[in-house]
Formats: sequence, C-alpha cells, structure tokens
Amino acid sequence: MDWSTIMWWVMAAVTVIPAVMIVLSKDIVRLAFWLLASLTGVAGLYILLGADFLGFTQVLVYIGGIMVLILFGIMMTNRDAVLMRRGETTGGAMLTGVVIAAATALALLKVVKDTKWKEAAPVEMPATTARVGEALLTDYVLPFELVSVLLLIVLCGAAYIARRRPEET
Amino acid sequence: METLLALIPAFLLAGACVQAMIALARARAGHHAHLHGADHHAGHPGDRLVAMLAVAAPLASLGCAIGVVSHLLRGGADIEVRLWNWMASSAFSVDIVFRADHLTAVMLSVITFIGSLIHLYSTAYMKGDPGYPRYFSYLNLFTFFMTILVMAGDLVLLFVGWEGVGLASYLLIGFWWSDAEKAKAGMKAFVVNRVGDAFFMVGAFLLWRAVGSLDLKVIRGFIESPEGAAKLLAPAGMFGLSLASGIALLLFMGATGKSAQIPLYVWLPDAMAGPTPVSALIHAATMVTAGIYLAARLNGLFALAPDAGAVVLVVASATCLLAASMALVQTDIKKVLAYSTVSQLGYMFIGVGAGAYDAGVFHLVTHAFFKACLFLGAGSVIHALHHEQDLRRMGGLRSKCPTTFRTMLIAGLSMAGVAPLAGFVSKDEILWKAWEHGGVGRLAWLLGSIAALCTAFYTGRLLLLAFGGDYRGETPKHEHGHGHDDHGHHAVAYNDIHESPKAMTLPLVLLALGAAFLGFIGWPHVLGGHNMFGQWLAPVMMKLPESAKAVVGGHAGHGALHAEWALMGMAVMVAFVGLGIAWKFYTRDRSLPGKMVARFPNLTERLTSLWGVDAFYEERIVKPLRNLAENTLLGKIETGVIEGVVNGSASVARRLASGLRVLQDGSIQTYLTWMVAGTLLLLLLLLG
Amino acid sequence: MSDLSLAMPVILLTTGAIAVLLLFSKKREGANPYPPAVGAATAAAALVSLQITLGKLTSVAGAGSSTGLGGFMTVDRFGVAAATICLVATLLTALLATDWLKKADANNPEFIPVLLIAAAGMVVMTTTGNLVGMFLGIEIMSVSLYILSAFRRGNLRSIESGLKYFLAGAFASGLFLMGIALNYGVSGGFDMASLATASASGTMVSKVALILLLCGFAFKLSLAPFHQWAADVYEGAPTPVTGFMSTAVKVAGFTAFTRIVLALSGTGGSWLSGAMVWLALLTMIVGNLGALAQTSVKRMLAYSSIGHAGYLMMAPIVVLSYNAASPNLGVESRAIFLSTDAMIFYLAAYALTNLLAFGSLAFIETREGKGLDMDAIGGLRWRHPVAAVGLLIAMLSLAGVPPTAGFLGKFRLFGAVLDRASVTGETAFYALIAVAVLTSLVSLGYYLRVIMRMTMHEPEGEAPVLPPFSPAWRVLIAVLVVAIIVLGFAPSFLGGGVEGVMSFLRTGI
Repeated sequence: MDWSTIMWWVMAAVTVIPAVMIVLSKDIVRLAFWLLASLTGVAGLYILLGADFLGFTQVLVYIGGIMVLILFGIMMTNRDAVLMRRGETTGGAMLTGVVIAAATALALLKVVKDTKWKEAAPVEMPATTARVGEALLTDYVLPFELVSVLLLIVLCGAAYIARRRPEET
Repeated sequence: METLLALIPAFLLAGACVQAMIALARARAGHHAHLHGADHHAGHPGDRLVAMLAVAAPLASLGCAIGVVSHLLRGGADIEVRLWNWMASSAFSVDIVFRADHLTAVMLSVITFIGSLIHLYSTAYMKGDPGYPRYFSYLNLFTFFMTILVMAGDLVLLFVGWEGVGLASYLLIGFWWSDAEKAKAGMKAFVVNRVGDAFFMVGAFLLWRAVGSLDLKVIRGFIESPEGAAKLLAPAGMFGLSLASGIALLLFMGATGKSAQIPLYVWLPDAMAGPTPVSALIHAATMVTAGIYLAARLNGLFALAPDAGAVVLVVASATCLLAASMALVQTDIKKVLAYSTVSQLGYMFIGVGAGAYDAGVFHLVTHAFFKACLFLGAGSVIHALHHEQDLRRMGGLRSKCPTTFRTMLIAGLSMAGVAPLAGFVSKDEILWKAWEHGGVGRLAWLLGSIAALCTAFYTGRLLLLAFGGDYRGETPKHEHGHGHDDHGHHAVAYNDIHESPKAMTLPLVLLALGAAFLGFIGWPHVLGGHNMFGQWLAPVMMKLPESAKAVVGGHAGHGALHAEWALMGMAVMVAFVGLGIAWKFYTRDRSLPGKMVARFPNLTERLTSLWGVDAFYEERIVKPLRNLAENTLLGKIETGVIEGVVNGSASVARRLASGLRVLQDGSIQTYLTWMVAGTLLLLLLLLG
Repeated sequence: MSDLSLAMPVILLTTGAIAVLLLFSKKREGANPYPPAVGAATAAAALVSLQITLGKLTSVAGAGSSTGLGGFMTVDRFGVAAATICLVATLLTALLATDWLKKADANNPEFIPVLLIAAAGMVVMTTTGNLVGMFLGIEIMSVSLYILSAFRRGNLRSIESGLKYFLAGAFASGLFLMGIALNYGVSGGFDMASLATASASGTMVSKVALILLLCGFAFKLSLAPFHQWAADVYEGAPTPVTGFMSTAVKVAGFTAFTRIVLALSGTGGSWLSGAMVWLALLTMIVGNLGALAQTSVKRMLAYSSIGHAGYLMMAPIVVLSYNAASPNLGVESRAIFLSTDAMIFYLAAYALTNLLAFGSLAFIETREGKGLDMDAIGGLRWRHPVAAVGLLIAMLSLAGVPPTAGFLGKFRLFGAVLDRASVTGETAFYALIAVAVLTSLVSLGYYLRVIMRMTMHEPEGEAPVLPPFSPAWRVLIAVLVVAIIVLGFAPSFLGGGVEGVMSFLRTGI
C-alpha cells in the first residue's frame, strides 16, 4: 500500500465519519464543526486527485468563508431556538428507513465493487489553476455563468425567506 | 353549394355563441337580481328576442340543408368542403372536411327539421325559466355537433361530433339543473358514453393502422379495393377474428354507448331527468341514432365482418326485447318512452346486423318522427298537468288536450306497427330482412316480433292511461314508490287543464303527419311500391370486391314472395293483438293489471327492478372502484391515513403552533423513504 | 450564427429578472402593476429571440440543430418547441398572478424575478445537450420553485410546502448527480453522446447511472413512487405558482428526459424500458385513483397531474423502443417522430389547460379568501360565471373531451403508443394503452365531480357580495378558453411552432 492509497483512506474517513456525525448530532454548533471536518476531507480528496486549485478553493471558500459565516450566524441568533429535536418518527418508520437505505447502499456498493473500472496510468499532474481559468472563460463559459445565476437566485431566495416575517397566519 | 354546406353548422355555432353571451351577461345581472329577491319565474323581458334568435339558427340551417338536399335530389354530385388542415405530421394528417352524400342528406334533413320544431316547441315549454338563453345555447350547440357528426368526412371529426353531442347532452341533463339527482343522471350518461367511446377510439386506431387514413372516402376506397378487403379479412390475432370483425365489433361496442344497447343502455332512462324537449331531440330523434349512422356510414366494413354482424344481431334483438319488457311496467310517462327508445334502437341495429343498412336508417327516420312526436306530446301533457309525470295520476285528457291526443294517437299507432303508418313500414322492412338473413337473423326476427307485441301493448297502455278513462289527478296524493314530490307541484283540477299553446302543438301536428305518411317513401316492392328510400341510399352502400364476396359469402338472396306476405300479415296481427290486450287491461277490465301482478309477482318484481342491471353496475363496478380509491392500502397511502397524518396540513399547522419544527412533520420522512424504496426497487429490477 | 445568440433567451430572462429586482425592490403599499408587466414583456422578448434563433436555424439548408458554447447549447426544433411552451406558461403566469400579487402577504417584488429565473432554468434544460448543463438548468429551476412555493411567508402551509419540496428535491438532485458521475466514470464525458457510449458498453455501472438519472427525473416529473411530495407541495404553494409548477416543470422535465432517452435509443438501452413501463403504469393508477379520493380541488389537480405524467411517460418508452437493427428503419423513426410530436402537443395542451384551471381557482381564492376544497367551488356557476366557464373548459380538456386540446393530445399520444404496440406486438405497449384508457375513464369521475359541484346551488345562506372583476383577468380567461378550443380544432392556426417540430429528429437518427 503506497502512501497515496493510505492518504486516500485517511481522507475518505475524514469525509465520511464527520458526515455520519452530522446526522446524529443534536447541537447545531457541534454539527457545524463536523461539517467543517467533512469538507476538509473533500478538499483533501480533490488534492489527491491532482485538482490542486479545486482543493485550495474548497478550503478557502467553504472552510474559510462559509463555515465562518455559519458559526457567526449561530452565534448571533438565539442558540436555544435552533437546537435540533428528535423527530416524531416512530420506531417502525425509522427501521424501514434504515433497512431500505442500507439495502440501496449495498446494491450500489456491489455494483461499484463488481465493476472493472478503467484505471489510467498515474501521470505527473501539472498545476491546474491556469487551465481551469481558461476553461471557465471559453468552453465552460455557459455553465460558469449559469452557476452564477444559480447563486443569484439562492441569494435572492435566502434573503427573501429570512427577511423579517409578517405575522404568521 | 359548398358554402351552403359549411353554413349549416356555422349558423348553429353562431347561435350557440350568441345565446351563451346573453346567458353570461344575464348571469351577472341575474345574480344581483337574486340578491334583491327578484322572482325568477316571471321570465325575462328579453326572452322574446332570445326565443326568436334560438329558432332562427336551426331554421337557417334547415334552409341550407334544403338547398343541399335539393341539389342532391336533382342528381348533383356529392358535395365536399375542405376547411383547413387540422393536424399534420409526416405519418398522420387530418383535414377538417365536410361531405354531403345521400346518407348525410337524410340525416341533415331529419336533424335540422326536427331540431327546428323542437326549438320552436321549447320556446313555449321553457317559458319563464331563468336559464332561458343558456338552455338555447346548449340546444343550439347540440344541434351544431350533431350536424358535424353527420357531415364529417373524417372519422376523427366524426368522433368530435360524437363526443360533442354527448357533451351537450350532459350539459342539458346535468349542467341544467341544480339538484344532485339530475346532476348525477347527467354524469352517469357522460361516463357510460365514455366507456363506449374508449372502444370507438381503439377501433378507429386499428382502422387507421390498416388503411393509413381515417378519411371516410379513403376508407371506402380501401374497402372496395381487392387488396384492401383482403387485408381487412386477414386474421387479426384476436380470438381468431378477422381484422374487419375486430374493428367492426369495437366500433359497435362504441355504438352501444351512444345508441343505448346492451350493456351500456342504462344511462338513457336516467337521462330523462332533462327537460322533455331535450329528451325528444337528443334521446329519441338524433343523438342516440349516431351509432346506426356510424354503422351505415361504414357499411362495407360491417359487410366484411359477418361474425360481427351476428353479434350485432344477437345484442340488438336482446336489447330490443329486454327494453320493451321494461317499458311494460313503467309508471313515469317519460320512462316508458325512454325504454321504448332503447327497444326501437334495437330494431335499427337488427337492420344493421342483417346487412339491411337502408332499412335501419329508414327506421331511424320514421322513429325520429313518431318518437319525437310522442315525447313532445308527453311534454305537452306534463306541461298541462304542471309537471305531473306519473301515468297513474293522469287520464281523461282526451277532451282537454285534443290536439295532443290526436297527434300522440297517430304517432303511437305508428310505433305500435299499425299498417300503413310509417312505423309499420320501416319496422316490417327490418324484420323481413332479418328473416331473410337466415341463421341468427331468424332468432332476431323472433325476439323482434315478441318485442313488437310488447311495443303495441305498452303504447296502448300509455295512450289509454293518459287519455282514456277518468282523470285521476285530483285524488289525494299518496306516497308511491319513487314519488316526484320534490318538484313541489300540486294536483291540477280537471277543469284547469288546458291544451298547450300553438308553438307546442304545431310541431306535434307536423311530426304526426310525418309519423303517418313517411312510410310511403320507403313503400316496399311487395306492396307495389319502389322503396324509393332504399334506392336513394344505394350509392352510399359500398360494393365489396368479388374476391371479398367469395370469402364473406354473398347476400342470402331474395326470399319467397309469399313468405314476405305471411310475415307482414303476422306483424299486423301482432300489433292489433298487443293493442287489444292493452284495451282489455286498461279499459274493459281494470282489475286485470292487479291480478297479473298478483299472479306473477316474480316477473313483475324483475321488470320493475329492471332485471337488476342498474343495481349490478352500482354494486359491482362503481362501488368497488370507489372502495379501491378510498379504502384499500393504495388509497390509504395516498390519502395519508397510513402515516397518521391527516390530509391537508391543518394538523401540521397545529403542531407548528405548539412549537415544533416543520421538519418533524412525519410525512416528509415517509416520502423520502418511498423515494429510496423506489430507487432500490428499480436497482433490484436491474440487478436481479 | 454566433454562439451567444443561442443563449439569448437565457440572457434576456436573467437580465429582466435583475432589472425588476433593482427597479422595484422597494416594497410599497398597494398594488404595483409594473413587475408583472415587465416580467411578461421579458418572457415575450425571450420568446421572440427563441423564434429568431429557430428562423436562422431553418434557413440554413439541411441543418436541424445548432450547437454552440462548448456544446452546452443545442438548439433544435424539439427544444425550441418545449422552451416556447415554458415561456408561454411563464408569460401567462406573470399575467394571471397580477391580481393575486395584490394580496397583502404576497405583495412582494421578488415574485417576478424568481419566476423569470425559473424560466431561464427551463430554457437551459430544454435546449442543452449536456448533462452538466441539464443539471444546472434543473437546479436553477428547482431553487426558484422552492422559493416560489414558500412565497407566502406568512402562511404556514406555503412555507411547509417550500420546505418539503426543497428537502425532497435536494434528495433527487443527489440521485441525479450520482448518475452523472457514474456515467462520467464509464464514458469520460458529459454530453449526450457519452450516454450512448456508456449505454453501448453495457456495463453494470452504466446501467446504474441510467437508473439513478431515471430516479432523479421520476422525482421532478412526480412519477410514482416518487410522487408523494407533489400533493403536499401543490396544495400548499400559492395557487398561481401551483399552476406554473404543474405545467412548465413537466414540459421542461419531459423534454430533458426525452433527450436522454433519444440518445439511448438504438444503443441497447432498451432494458431501461422495463423500469419505465412499471413507473408509467404505477403512476397512471396511483395518480388517477388518488385523485378520486381527494376532497380539495388543488390536491385533486395535483394527483391528476401525476396521472398525466403517467400518460406522458409513454412517449419516452416508445422512443426507447427504437430498434436500430430493424429492416424497416422508416417505421422505427416514424415511431419516434409520432411519439415525441404527440408528447410536445400533449404538453402544450396540458400547459394551457392547467393554467386555465389554476388561473380560475386563483381568482376564486383571491376573491373569496377561502380554501379550495370542493365546497369552495359549490355553486360557482351562480357566483362567478366566468370562472365557472374557465374551470368547466379546463376540466373537459383535462378529461380529454373533444373539441378541446386535451382530447387531441390524448388522441395523438395514445395513438402513437397504439401504433407502436401494433408494430412491435409487445405486451408492454398493450398493457400501457389498456391502463391509460381505463384510468382516463376513471379520471372522468373526479373531473365531472368538479363540474357537478360548480353547478349546484350553495346549500345555505346569502351569497357573498363580490368585489368587482378585473377586466384583464376576464380577457385572459377568455383567451385561454379560446386557445384550448382552437388548439383542439385547428392547431395549425397556431403556426408551425408545434407542428412538424421533429424534423431534426427525423434526420438526426
């Protein structure tokens, strides 16, 4: 097992374990920190794949920007109000959900395991930043712009919904 | 001439639109009037204008139709109007095209003539009704679709007319009234018709697959060509039927809906909930005959399918007898006529099944006259008695409503088959053709003749109960079975009964004349006539190629002359026997009906419960379906009972109010579980 | 043709949205008629630019489509026809919502921009030939709809509806993305050709990828068992939004899905049709029986729209049955042509009809301030004749009664399937057509119930004194009624936009 494989497993664990913890945790602050860990893992995976620019952007934007924003958000609102509560889901429904989800996961895993994936020979990865920049303004200009439209609408919607509410009816 | 043809529906459509606009404008104003307590029954000052416009539309169409018919009478060629392309793609192209040939001319004359009379009649019958313009809007719309149906040069366009008349009839039965019972009758009519339509559509698709077009002219050419006929005669892989038989059966099943045959006849008697002129126009004279028109239009197809013809014969003769038996015991004057209509439609289909399409269409025409006359006469009686429809509360009207009596008598005798009235000529023609057809045709003849006996009896019963004897309406009303007390009417004193106004009696007279003398246009050879009607329709009959004739077998050839005489004599005798029994029961010895009921309680029970057919449909089809939707597992999942969340989010709102998060409403988890389950299922479908 | 002109509708819609946001963001008292007007004008401008692009397209001999912007825009007649329907729906929604927007808790200037952005997403979905572009389009559309569903922020049901839609939608997006990723893993590309490559490889992963894509679409198109969100969301969302959701989303979704299926047809992807047939059958049955059990008109229409999705699903199934090895390729491509053509027509008819239905309902809701259960429409004929006529025509068209557009749609769609059934002789097609016909008979039950309720007098009491009609609204209802009947009787009058849409496909295969 060479070091990159080891790193892959480490990063995978760093991604998945916190993800599970997010689902299970009840305190929103802890939840935010678990999310931070999971996102770091994803950044690591990107870098392992040779997508250095993407990895660094992930760290910069998600960890440096968004997570800080979330934490500030929590800090500035009433913490008690956003404490997660356990749902009213009955035990039976929970069991059904877990069984079905597990079965689906198993089915997918089986397929992934049974597949003979094409393995490209490892090549020396050049720095990607310049190429990503170029691609975004040529071939990928449309999706790039579309993503900005998507962000705009998300922003707009978030602002609209989070704005001070009229009296609830 | 093309313009004239196109104008026929145009006038009616324009009339419907104008009336609809008046109705909409009035509904707005009328609502305020309602708020201010205005009296609805006083009528509206603009009603005169509405009435004039209403009659003008079908009259204008009648004028155009006369032009078209006279053109054809002078030996002119068939008329064709191609208006615009309806839908086009490389594989499928349909034009809006109207055609008028001899068959269409017959239908157009009947529709516009009787339609005009009934519009005229309605102006008096519906007087004072708050929905006056709306009623005429629907009636014009109905006539419009009916003309489309018979003028359509294309099966798809024909289907539009076919559905359109059903829609207009639904509006007239259901949309007209505001009480639930009648709305339900309208809905029943619509739904039952749509069941038939589903078969119609499948049949039409198969025909299109075979022919490559639904243009009726192309279809005719296809059937008349040796290759086309061979293709239609090839086995279709369905129960060993040929393609032609399959298509013909599907189309016939479609026709059983519209033309009220077994098993889909159940809607027609209920449809009598509509106003009586509507029953006369739609449920007697025109719409219900659409199935016969369709069969006559595609006669070559039915000719290629003798096994389908046998099915038609059996179903039609069974319907004919069954409905006639039901009519024997009905006490509602309109219900008697309704079952009688089902029975008479059975005769027409016997004609179709026996390959005598012209005889079927001939009976269609005479029936349109005598039945419309009977319905309008019944309407006149109901009008005179202020909405009394129960035969047991009538009687003695002969001197009070003389015109109504005379016209109904003529029409009734015509229907009972008294020679030489029109009904006799056309019915006899059909029964003779059925006999001549041989095989199942003989069975049809037998059932048809028994039905003729019933017909004569119930016609006599109806006339005698309504017009003969003494007036029974003044006796204190007692609760009987399914009383019509919901109208809130009260008994009319005998001296207050008056004959209906001119606008109502004039149509009666004209229709009675038709019911008496129309027989002469189809006077049979055996009686020294030329059957001009049959000759007139001869160009419409498709000529099968010789190769196909060899497979199907030619026509059974002409029967012996003396047989025809014998059968005719028997038919006349049957009519008189039936009428005689009615006379005995309802004039000579009035205790006889009661004795019969006591003697045969089972039979009476069966007849009054309509052989249990309606109950069967309700129990076995409607209820289980509703059950499936509401009470089974599927229904419960869909209505959200299973996860304990009552539909609508009222409970969610309550929980929200108690401080819980929306997220914890259980349903979203359930939805997601279903979605994952669906994904898993599809994956397993693939992997397994 | 410059690449940019291909994206012109999207650019116009986005610009219009931003302009409305900037110009009218200040909330003011009372009605503001300008945002809806600008919104409608923007949608109209986008429509025009779309038609200009199409005109340029057809003027180049032999060219059925134009691809540009790195392969992310593929403009062909199929896409243009679908995008046209979406834009018309947007335009009508903007106009129909004018009245409703005046209501206190909905009078926010964000409505129109969000609507326009949703339309931009739909245009991308219908005119892209790339899975990534498709995903972005879907997301832009979906996020906008989440916002629109929750637009009445003061109304708990509206918020709940938005939240449920968002949660279920996020899940579906996950499935969709996973499908794209697996497909990339097999084929190394994102365009439609990569799907064909992957499918032709026949590996298990490529199949799983397709199943996941199918599941993602099944959610967006509310196919059973991915449909349950629909009833809650449709009921809770503001009525004009429900009208928009139930029409335009279906158009964009079915077009995008059919594009994927078109890429698969003839490449050995026909194994997928088994799954699709089951989905379609289940959807028809669940949708129509579910509708029968509802007591709220809006919920009933939600289930009815599920039923219609089931019918529409038959078109892609026919497309997928294309047999490249058949000796008679003419018959095969005719099947594709017939079914896609019928699908586009059905979608157009359905869009107009549902907009009419929800437009009428929105009016009743706004005027009477009541919910939309069956009692709310009781005696409607007497109170609002115009709304009653609108609802009547809409119900008849949904039930497929001639001479409405709904009839012609069903006629053509069922015809295409029956045609295929008789060519291939496969039981699956016969089963589809049988269930489709039977369930559409069942559907009459609940459509007629609406008509029946409208015609009956209200059981008790004084009729409410009504606020005055808005003439513009009446004109709109009249236009829709006429359009539905004209589309049923003389679709060729609406120009070549819908007809003959598929010339690209005929040459492209």
